[in-house]
Amino acid sequence: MTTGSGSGSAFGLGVRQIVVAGILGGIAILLGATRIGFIPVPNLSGSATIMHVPAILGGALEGPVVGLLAGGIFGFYSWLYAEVPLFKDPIIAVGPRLLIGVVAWAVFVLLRRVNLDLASAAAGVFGSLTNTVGVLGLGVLLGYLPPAAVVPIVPQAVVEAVLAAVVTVVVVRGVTLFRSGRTTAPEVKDEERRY
Amino acid sequence: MLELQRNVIFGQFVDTGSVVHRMDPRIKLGAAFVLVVASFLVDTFLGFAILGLLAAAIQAVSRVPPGYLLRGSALFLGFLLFILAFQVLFYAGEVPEGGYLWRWGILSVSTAGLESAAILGLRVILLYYVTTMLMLTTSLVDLTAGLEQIFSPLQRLRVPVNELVLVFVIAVKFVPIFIEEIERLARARTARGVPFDEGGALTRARRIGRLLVPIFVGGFARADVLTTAMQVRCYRGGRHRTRLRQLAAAPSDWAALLAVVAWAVAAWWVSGAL
Repeated sequence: MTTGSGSGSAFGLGVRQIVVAGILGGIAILLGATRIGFIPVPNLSGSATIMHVPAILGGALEGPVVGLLAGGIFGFYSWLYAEVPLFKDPIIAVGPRLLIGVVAWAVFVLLRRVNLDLASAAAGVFGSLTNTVGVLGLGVLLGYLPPAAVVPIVPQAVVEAVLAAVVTVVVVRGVTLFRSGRTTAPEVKDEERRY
Repeated sequence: MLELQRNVIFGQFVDTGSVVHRMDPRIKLGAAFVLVVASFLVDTFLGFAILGLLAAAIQAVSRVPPGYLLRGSALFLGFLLFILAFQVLFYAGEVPEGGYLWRWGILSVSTAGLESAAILGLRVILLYYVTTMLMLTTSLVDLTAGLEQIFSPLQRLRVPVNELVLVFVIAVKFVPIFIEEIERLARARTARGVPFDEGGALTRARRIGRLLVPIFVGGFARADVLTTAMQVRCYRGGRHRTRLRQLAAAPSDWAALLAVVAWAVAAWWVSGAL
């Protein structure tokens, strides 16, 4: 990881990367603190979540470093405020979350020349699956979950992946539109507008 | 109507000017770390009762109104109860003969399940309390300075400590801003005829979900503005930066840290001895 004071590349940690990672981390905490990012489901995990979406967006729109940092903040928050024993282990709570944005970035970069919406949706799905497979895989490997407990979580994983794909597509479109500058009306003075 | 600002106090700072507020932030961070570790080591009701007494003492000294803290934690506590209910119903540990109070298929209520869920709940509440009180009693400037100085030795290993702390601080700082924004968006939509208080859980969730896209897009717009603001002020991390206010821990601060360590060790010892 390199440091820099300018905008920095996607692999560096410049001002832009610091700010975007912080803001996306803030949105992840917002989703957790307000409970907006949770959908309660009756299984051992307790709830499906979209808290990983900021990490996916960070990876897709700003590069792997931002995705990694936003995922790290999500992981740290979910470890600190974990309500189920599985996430009280920092290896499970933080480890897979660091990779969400990195995987989303790789998928997005690979597909963005084909189609932006496809790349966004695929980044959402693969980022989400990185979270689910990483957490459940480590949970089973480290003995927190019996393999049988994974089955009821599969539908939840599908819902999380679909939600992540939908939100990623809409937000990537929105941010691309905002950055293109086509959302604002042309600046015309009142006198000119009259004629 | 959504009332998130009243019900979520994450990232807020309430300045009552108490002794706790005036403490060196590094000492407060150290004490918080000790209590976080203690919450993982203690696993009996008596141990948590001892730590609870310390929490009550901190609450009294900090002069943060308990009502404010409770109202701001209602959402968190409600959700915690909901999750713990699942932990009891799906309890997978060993249950001794006659330990079941109710059983239906894979669902059950057992004394072992209730005990396990209660200990987990106390642990989560203690962790929540410690981190919430740290933020309620420490300004972001102090929190940043404290974190930067605690982790400054890592700079020798070329870890960008200042940058990483700034990422964390921006995340925490923006939570109340986003909460205000989401509430404003909800009010604007209510004014245009979208009722957030009506309909079933799924309908409400869908309506709230639609608020997320403007929050994300707005977040990226804010990031652009903040990046420009920092760049025109020539932000360059912590290198060669001097501070207007130097942190200095008073002997009373060290004594407070020592007291917290002793109390936590006592709770752990009692927990292990029984």
